[in-house]
Amino acid sequence: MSDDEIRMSCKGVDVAYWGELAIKNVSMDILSKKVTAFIGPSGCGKSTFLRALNRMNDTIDGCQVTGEIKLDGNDIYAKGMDTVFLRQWVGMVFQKPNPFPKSIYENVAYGPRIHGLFRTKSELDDIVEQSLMGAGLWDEVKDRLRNPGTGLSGGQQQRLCIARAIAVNPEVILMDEPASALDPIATRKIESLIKSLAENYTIVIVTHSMAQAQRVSDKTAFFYAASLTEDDDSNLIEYGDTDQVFNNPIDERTRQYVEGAFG
Amino acid sequence: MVQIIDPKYKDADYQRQVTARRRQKGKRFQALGIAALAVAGLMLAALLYSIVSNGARGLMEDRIAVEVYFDPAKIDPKGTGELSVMRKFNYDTLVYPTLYEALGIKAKGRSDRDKRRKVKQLIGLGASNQLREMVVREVGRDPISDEAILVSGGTQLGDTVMVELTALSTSANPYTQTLRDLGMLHTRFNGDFFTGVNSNDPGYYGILDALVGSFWTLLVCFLASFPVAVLTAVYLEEFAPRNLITDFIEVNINNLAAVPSIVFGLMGAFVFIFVFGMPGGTALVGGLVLSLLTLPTIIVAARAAIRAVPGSYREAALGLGASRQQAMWSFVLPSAMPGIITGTIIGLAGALGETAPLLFIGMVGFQSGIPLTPVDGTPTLAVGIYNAFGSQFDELKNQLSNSTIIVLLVLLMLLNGTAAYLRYRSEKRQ
Repeated sequence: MSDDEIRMSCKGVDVAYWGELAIKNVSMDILSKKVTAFIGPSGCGKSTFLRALNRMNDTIDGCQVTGEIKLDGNDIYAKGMDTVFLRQWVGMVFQKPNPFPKSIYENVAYGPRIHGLFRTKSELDDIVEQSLMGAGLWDEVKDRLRNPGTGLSGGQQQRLCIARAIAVNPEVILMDEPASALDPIATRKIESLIKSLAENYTIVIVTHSMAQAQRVSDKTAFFYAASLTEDDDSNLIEYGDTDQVFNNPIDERTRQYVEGAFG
Repeated sequence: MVQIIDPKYKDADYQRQVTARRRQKGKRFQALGIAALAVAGLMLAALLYSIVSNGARGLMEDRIAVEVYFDPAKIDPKGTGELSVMRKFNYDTLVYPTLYEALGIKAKGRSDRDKRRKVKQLIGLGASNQLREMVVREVGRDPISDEAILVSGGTQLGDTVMVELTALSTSANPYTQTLRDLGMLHTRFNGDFFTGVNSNDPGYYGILDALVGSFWTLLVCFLASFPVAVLTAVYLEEFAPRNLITDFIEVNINNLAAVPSIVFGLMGAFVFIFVFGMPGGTALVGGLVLSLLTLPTIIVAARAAIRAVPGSYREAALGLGASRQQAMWSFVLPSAMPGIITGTIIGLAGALGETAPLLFIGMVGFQSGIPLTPVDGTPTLAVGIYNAFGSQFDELKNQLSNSTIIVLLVLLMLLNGTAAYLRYRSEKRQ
C-alpha cells in the first residue's frame, strides 16, 4: 500500500479537557479514499480524537488541542484556518441520527445554502438528488421530499444525515458510531453505504463493533485509555491494516481487546 | 447481596401490616392534598363570586326617563341669549320638580327635605352635564384669549324634551321601586361602560380609554422588552464566555425579577420623565416602565427555551460548517420560539395587571378621552379598577370597579390561553 495518498496526517496530538489528557501523543496518517476505523474500550478517547479532526471540540469549554493535524498539508489548527471551511471539507455524521426539524429536501439543502454551492434552484435540486442517491435514500424518499426528515425511520434518518454531509462535497467524512442506534438491517445498509462512499471520500469511523470494523474498514487504530496514566508514550496502541490488527496484532492488549477479553 | 437477618421480613402477617401502614400513609397524604386543593378552590370561588356578582351588576344600569322643560326663566333669567350665561346653570335642578310631582313629594318646605335629598341622590353630576350639552357645548378653546368656544347644542330654551338619565345608587334608594312601577325607571345593559371613558360620575363611567391605553402600553412594553430580552438570552446562552462578569449579570437579571414593581415606577418617573423629558402619564412611559418588569421574565423563559433545544441540532449545523450564528438563527432560535413566546405572553399578562408603578408615573385620573397615540395621557385597565372605585366607597363605583376587573380577567385568560395553546402545539410537534 505504498502508493496510498495521505489525506490527513497527525503528529504528536494531545487533547486535554481542563488540563486533563484525553488523548496522548497520537500520530497517524489517514489515507485517501480508505475507511479508517477507530476502536477501543469506552472512554479511550477515540471519539475525542475524531472530533479533533474537524475541530468540533472547539465548541467545548476547556478543551485544548496541541500537536499538529494537517489536511492535505495544511495545518487545521493554524491561526488562519476557518472552521467553517474546515468543516465543509471534513464533514461529520453523529452517533444518533440528528436530522433538522425541517423537510427532507431542506435537510440536504441546508449545507449547500450556507456555503453558497449553487446558483440556480435546479442546481440545488441536482445537489439534493445526487446526495440522496449517494446515500442510497433517493428511491425511498423521492416522492416525499417535502415531508419532515424526522418522520423517517432511524436508519433512513441516519442515511439522510449522510446525504446532508456529502451535499457540501467534503473530502473526509467523520462518523461517530453511526450505526450504534440502529437495528441490524439498517446497520447493514449503512455499512454497505460506507464501503461505496469510500470510492469517493476518505472515511474515518468510530465503532464499538469489532465485526463492523472488520467488515467496513481498510485500516484500524486501537486506542486504550489506561495508557493515559501509564508509562506508554501514547494511547494509540496499534495502527495498521485491519486484517493485520485483527488477525495478527502486535500488541498484547490489542489482541485481548479484539478477542473480546475486555471492552 | 444484602443479608436479611430479621426473619420477620418473610412473615406474611408482618408484610400485611407494612402494606396497610404504607397505604394509610398514602391515603393521609392524598387527603391533605385534596384539603389544600379545596381551600384554594374556595378562595378562588369567593373571589370570583365577589367579582362576578358585583361586576355583573355594574354591566347593567338603571335609567330614569323623565320629561324636562328647559325653563328660560331659570336658565337665562335676564333673557340675554348668551351661551356663556346658559352654560353656568345647574341643569339637574330641571329634573327634580317632575320627579317630586310623580312621587308626591312637596317641592318646598321642611317636612319633605329628607325625601327630596333621597331623590337628588338618584341624579348625579353627569346628568347635569348631559342636559347642559343639549343646550350649549364647548368645542374648544380660543388660542389667544383661552376662552371656551361655545356652540348651541340644538335644544332651544322653552322646549320640553323626553330625556333618559343614568340613575345612581338605586338599590339603596327608597324611591327606586316606586319609579319603576310608574314606568319612569328601567334597567338595561350598560353600553356606556364599553364606549365611555373615565369619568368622575359613575353613571357615565366607561373603560374604552383604559382599554386602548392598555393596548398602547402593552405594545410599547412588547417592542421595548422582546428584542432586548431575546438578544440577551441568546447572547448569554450561546456566545457569552463564562466569567465573573456574565455570572454577575445573570444574578442581577434574577434580582431584577424580584424588585417590587413600585420601585420601577419611581425610577421611571425620574429617568424617563425628568431626565429624558418624556410626557408623563402616557403609554410610552408606562410601557417602558413595564418593560423593565417583563424583561427578566422573558429573559429567563427564553434562556430555558434555548437550553431545551436539543444540542444535536446545533452540533449537526456546526458539523456542516455553519457558523455559530447560522446555527443559532436557523435552528436554535426557531425551535426555542414557542417557549420564548409563551414566556413573553406571561410577562405581558403580568404587565397588563400592574398598577403601582403606573400610578407613580401619573397614569391616573385622566379624563382626556380615548388616547389616539402612545404619547397621549391615558389610564390602563388595572389603573381603571382603581379609578372606577375612586376615593370613597360608593355602591355603583364598587360595581364598576368589579366590572373592570371582569374585563381585565377575561383579557388575562385570553393571553394565558394563547400561551397554553402555543405550549401545547409545540409539545405536540416534538
